[in-house]
Amino acid sequence: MPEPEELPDESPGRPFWSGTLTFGLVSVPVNFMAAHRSNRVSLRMVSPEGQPLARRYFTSQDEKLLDWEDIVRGYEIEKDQFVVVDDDELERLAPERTRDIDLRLFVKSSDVDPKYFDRAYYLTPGGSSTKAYRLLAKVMEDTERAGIATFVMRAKEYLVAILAENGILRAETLRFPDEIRSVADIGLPDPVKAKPAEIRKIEKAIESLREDAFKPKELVDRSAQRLNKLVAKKAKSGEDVVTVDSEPGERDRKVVDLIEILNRSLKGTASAKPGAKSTKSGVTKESGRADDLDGLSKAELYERAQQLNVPGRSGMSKKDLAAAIRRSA
Amino acid sequence: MAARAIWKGQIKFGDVDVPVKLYSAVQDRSVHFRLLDGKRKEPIKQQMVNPESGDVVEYGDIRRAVETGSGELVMLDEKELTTLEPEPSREIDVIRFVPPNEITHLWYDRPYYLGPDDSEEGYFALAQALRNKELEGVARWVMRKKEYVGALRADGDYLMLITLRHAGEVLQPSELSPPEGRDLEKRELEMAKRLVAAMEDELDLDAFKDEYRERVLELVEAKAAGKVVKFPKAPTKKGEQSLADALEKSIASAGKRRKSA
Amino acid sequence: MAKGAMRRPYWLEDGEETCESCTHTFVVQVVVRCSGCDAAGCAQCVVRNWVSHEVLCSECRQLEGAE
Repeated sequence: MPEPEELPDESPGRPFWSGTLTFGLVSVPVNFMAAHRSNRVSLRMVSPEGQPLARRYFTSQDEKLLDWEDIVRGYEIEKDQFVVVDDDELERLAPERTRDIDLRLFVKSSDVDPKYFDRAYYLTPGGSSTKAYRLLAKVMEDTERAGIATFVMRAKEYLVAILAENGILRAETLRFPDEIRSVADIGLPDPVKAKPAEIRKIEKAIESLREDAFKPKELVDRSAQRLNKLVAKKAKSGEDVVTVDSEPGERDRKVVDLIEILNRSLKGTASAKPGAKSTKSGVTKESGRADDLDGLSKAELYERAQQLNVPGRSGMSKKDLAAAIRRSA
Repeated sequence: MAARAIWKGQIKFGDVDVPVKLYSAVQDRSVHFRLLDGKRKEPIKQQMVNPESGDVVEYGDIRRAVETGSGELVMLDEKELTTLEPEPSREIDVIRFVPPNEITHLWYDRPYYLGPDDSEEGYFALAQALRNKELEGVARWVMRKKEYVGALRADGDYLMLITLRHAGEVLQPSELSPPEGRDLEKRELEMAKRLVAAMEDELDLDAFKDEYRERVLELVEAKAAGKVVKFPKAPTKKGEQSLADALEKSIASAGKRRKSA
Repeated sequence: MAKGAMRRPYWLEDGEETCESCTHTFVVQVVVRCSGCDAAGCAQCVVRNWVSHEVLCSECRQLEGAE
């Protein structure tokens, strides 16, 4: 039985990926945390009576309800012809790269073409010490260098630039070159020379809107503002307000104070007294229950084992994992 | 094959008006899987269900609501949802010009090429003016009933529009506190610097291929042909060692790699 | 391991991404982009054109059919 690949919950404040940055022979265990949050309230789908709805799957022929255990994924090789592929197989395709990001190339941070940038994640220290993390961040920031590497997560290979700013490491996933179209691919016409007078006229118009600093305020989400305003107005007047026992979880991420969670996570374990052997801090970050290993799922145990760098953890049963964690902690 | 335009609009600011076509700069190459019924290997369908009663609610009967916390929901009707939609418009309204690097990658969402629509001269004049001024524009526009914000930039001789995240959606490094700990040792800093320098090179992104994607497609083909699939072996983990030792050994081996290359 | 002890796979989880056709939410790895309009969609909603191998959202598919 393979160990679960990564933490399934993608809500903010939960690591998106946990693994190890390697830099030569130096290992820096890290968690990936989203650098973005949504600032709009989410529109939920509800019944005419206001009951929040849940998504369910059915067979297409006789509309029989399917449990998620009954669902598999398939690649459509020809119309309506599928090859079933399971997560275990997908993971085994790249065993060396699902847990490690091996930094073998450093470049000038400014050398990456902006169109390649996809998503950003902050890296928080995952291990028992922040020393290697701080060392890497300091050197990269001082020398204005970015590390380039690839890794595999959730059946997808990622090209990633690791950058350092304000003593904090972050990963920005990049698109692969074959995913970026060129001007020739698009078929744009060859440049024509514009009249100098026309260029000057435009330059003048540009100049009149020039500011030296970018104000994020100018990116305000007006749609979200309109929605929030309408909802606040209706909530205040009590119009169309229903009270329900809503299943928590579907989209309850609004309540999370991301900054606080990130800062807590960034503290890592170095906040423990110098010299203290304890490697439990990474362990407590999620639940606060450091010792109750029996109540944890295999995925959670695996995560802890990984933070503790338990050797041979990938082949261990749930029981073995718990025992190994007790020994190492 | 030339790509098709996904939208047409007009860049506007001051007395400037440049008609453009928008093209996605990104081509989705990910391998996509469909959800199947495990027994029959057939696509399945998804429906919304009232979890209390188990009844399926047809799409036409689904309504929208916003949770305001403490189990309260505010329901919105079709008419209200329509009033929330932005006014349709073809204008790409440039409200500001700022020096490049002011808008960091943290704001970036998706890149689009702009191509000329009708007048090529106005288009290339704008690209030239942006290059001369070394500035980029902050733009707002409405596309497919959604409001977008973006950075208008020159990309060589051409124009690009990179959609940006909205205000408040990006956590800035300055809002966060870096990890703390005992001061780093000078010797280790020196060694780490040497190690980075030893691994430094020009960036050639073309050298990076999505090999995993190819492996997935090979797996699919092998399975379709009924072949036995061979999986690569996982390498064994390196042993633990002190930071200083690890740095020293790494520098030595990075130096060797350099020479042999 | 018993089935019940396993976790729901990530490809059935809710996530940060929304399908612009059916408004379902899912994790970023599952997003499909329409070749016609670049809208984000889920694999259930997009249609593959088996001649061009393009993946299109239902709206663009209709437009194409009308051409």
